[in-house]
Amino acid sequence: MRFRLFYTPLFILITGAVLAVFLYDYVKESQALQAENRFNKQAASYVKTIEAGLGNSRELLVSLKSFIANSDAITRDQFDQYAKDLLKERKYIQALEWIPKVGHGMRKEFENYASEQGLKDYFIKYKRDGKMLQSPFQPEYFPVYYVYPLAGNETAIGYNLSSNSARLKALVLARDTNSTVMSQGIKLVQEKKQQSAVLMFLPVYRSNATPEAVSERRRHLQGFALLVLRIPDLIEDVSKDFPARFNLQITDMSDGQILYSNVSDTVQKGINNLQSQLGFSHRHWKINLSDLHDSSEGLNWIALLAAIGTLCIASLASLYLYSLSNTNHKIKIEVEKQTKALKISEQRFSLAVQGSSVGIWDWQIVEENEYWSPQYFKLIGYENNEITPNKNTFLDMVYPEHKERLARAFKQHIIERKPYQVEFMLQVKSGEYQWFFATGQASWNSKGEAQRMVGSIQKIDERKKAEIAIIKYAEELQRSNKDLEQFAYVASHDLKAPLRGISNLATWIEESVEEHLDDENRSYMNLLQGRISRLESLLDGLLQYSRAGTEKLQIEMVDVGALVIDISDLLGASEKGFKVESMPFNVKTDKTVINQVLHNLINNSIKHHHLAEGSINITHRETDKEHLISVCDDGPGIDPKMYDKVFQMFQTLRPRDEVEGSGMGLAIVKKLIERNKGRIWIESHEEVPGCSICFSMPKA
Amino acid sequence: MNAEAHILLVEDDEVDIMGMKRALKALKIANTLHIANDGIQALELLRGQSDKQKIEFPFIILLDLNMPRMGGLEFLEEIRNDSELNNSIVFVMTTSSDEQDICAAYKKNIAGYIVKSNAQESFSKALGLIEHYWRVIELPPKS
Repeated sequence: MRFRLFYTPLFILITGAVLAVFLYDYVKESQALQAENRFNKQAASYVKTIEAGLGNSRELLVSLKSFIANSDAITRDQFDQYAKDLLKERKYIQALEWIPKVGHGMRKEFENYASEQGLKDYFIKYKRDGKMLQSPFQPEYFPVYYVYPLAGNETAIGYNLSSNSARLKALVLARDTNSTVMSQGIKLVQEKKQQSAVLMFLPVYRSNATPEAVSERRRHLQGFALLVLRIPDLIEDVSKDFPARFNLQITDMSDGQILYSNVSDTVQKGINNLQSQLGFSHRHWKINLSDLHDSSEGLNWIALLAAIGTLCIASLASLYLYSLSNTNHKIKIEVEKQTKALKISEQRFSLAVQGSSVGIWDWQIVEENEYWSPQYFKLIGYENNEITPNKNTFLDMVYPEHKERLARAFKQHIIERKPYQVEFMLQVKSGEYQWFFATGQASWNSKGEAQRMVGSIQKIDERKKAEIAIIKYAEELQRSNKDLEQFAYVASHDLKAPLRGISNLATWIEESVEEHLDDENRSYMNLLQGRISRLESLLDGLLQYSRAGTEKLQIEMVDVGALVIDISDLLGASEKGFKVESMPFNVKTDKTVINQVLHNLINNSIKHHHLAEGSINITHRETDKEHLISVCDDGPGIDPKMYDKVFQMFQTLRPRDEVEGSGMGLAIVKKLIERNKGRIWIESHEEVPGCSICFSMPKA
Repeated sequence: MNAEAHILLVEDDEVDIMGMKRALKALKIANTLHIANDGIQALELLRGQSDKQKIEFPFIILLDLNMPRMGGLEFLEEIRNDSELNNSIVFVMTTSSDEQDICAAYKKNIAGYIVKSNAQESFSKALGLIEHYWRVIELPPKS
């Protein structure tokens, strides 16, 4: 699934790469084509430029010839002056020369004349084995006579051009055609540098004639104007202002001599080349031109740049598309996940709603549109949609006294945003009012206005009614207890007055008839008085019990050790033979309460002891939450079966005739302890005589 | 002088009245004894209302608390607000040992609070005390 994400971006990337390759080739090729065109144009122009350079030189030669032909006799100075003007800056011209024709008969005369003219030791010479020697016999000689510039060309003076076959051939051609003839390439005699050079000859005829026939021309020939042209310097000169540079090779087509080449074998030739022929003054040159650099070699930067650019764009596009589709994919997955979660949640909710006894309501507050779930209708005893679910329908059902609490809860939720939880009664279809519990949650817009409120409603009728019953019962119980206490108080109080009356009357009767009483009647009277005082003590105990713990507690730090000593003294314990001891400790509690508790317990221990003497120990330990206090005696102990009973009212374990007691002592203690949120219990041990009454007092 | 002092017993219980009379007789106290069965009757006697012979100073009041119509505490309230009677000497003699009653009574400036627990003894003891009391203490004068 996931690989599909890569398809489109990958496709784009590959397409981009292919396109880049093609583009590279295309740009490269078109560039090559452009370069070729440019090369061809430039090369052709370059050949023309070279030709123009040659033409310029020929013009000079023509000028020189005219100068010579129009003068009867030219002195060396005149020649030099004229030649100097002609040459000026043209450095590629090695020399301008005048070559007279000298017949053999005139040779001596000519040589002598030249020497007289200032050319010391002038003789006509030729070159053999690199040396200049006296020229052998020839019918005609063509020696170099005037040379400008002389400097550097001294060796050429007197050199017989016809001694060299190549030069001779050119001379003959020039004489016979009356035209400029360019020679083959030569190595200059005067040149130490091995530069290729060519000679241009132009014949000069006698009397400035221009003979037409060849024979005439031969007869009238006076000599030749000669120009020595250095090819490399010429090329350099014409190239100076030319915008392009080439690999150039000039070959003489007649003998294959290379006149000029700036191409070494090691330098590779360019891809573009031009082969051209240049015909000039009876000579044909083959000119080879090529690029200085092979543009096809190495990397073509422009094409590469174009290709890389394309590749980059493709990559970016691919990457973007990938990230886009990846994001899409993620969103799709997320949406699927959310949708699924939502579906599950909806289903869960729907099942929960169906399965539970809870009704759902959804109130669009602004639109006044309300929805009640089927369970809602069922709860209030109606068929689904039997009544219109809206605010008014709802309010009509609410128990009138509960409208206010609903309004308050709603207001507190909407304004103060307190949780909406409210219990109220609704009149269901049967007409009965039943208890319901509703919860809800509103949603607010950005202005804080409640838009919608959704909640649940459930029937809590049984629970609520039971609750109310319990509260009522508890209230009744409390009232009943209070009534009982009140009754106990009133009874004990009001019973006391007549009891005292009886007691008084009995006493008075006893006083009146004392002398007449026999022993039997006297004992009756004693029993009567005894029963009266027992009834009085019972009433006292009842009164004490009903009052126990009704006073407000005053919490203070109580030194229990000292308190026990006081109680012991009050009870006259030591006089009765009892040793009462307590651990020294403090308890923070109501002093009256703990005083009465300890008083009653110690009193009990003394009163119920089976021996005439004994010991009573008060011990104390404490936990984090409470004090645990025990009153331990070495008395007869209490039967475990009686543990519960001893704490009840009017309970005594022995007949009152043996031990007088109201039977209220422990009941009062229990009441006080429990009112103080403590516990009371009895501990006794078989091996140890006596028992311990233990109680706890919580720490405040 | 104090032998002239009258005793006003405010008591509703017949037997207690008899007991008081017996105790006076036994202690040979000859001072005039007036009986009122509740607070209203007592006030009538003290103020000479309803054709009753007004009791003149000096006198001592022995007051029970629990009585019909007007109880002892209400009676105390009444006489302490009465400019003529507010300096009366009052002993409370009652069966109630309730702390609340004791406190409430003392707030009304009583001379003493006696609990009638054991009937016979307490009457004699109380009267003995009262006899000593008025022999030693100067009672407030007639006006």
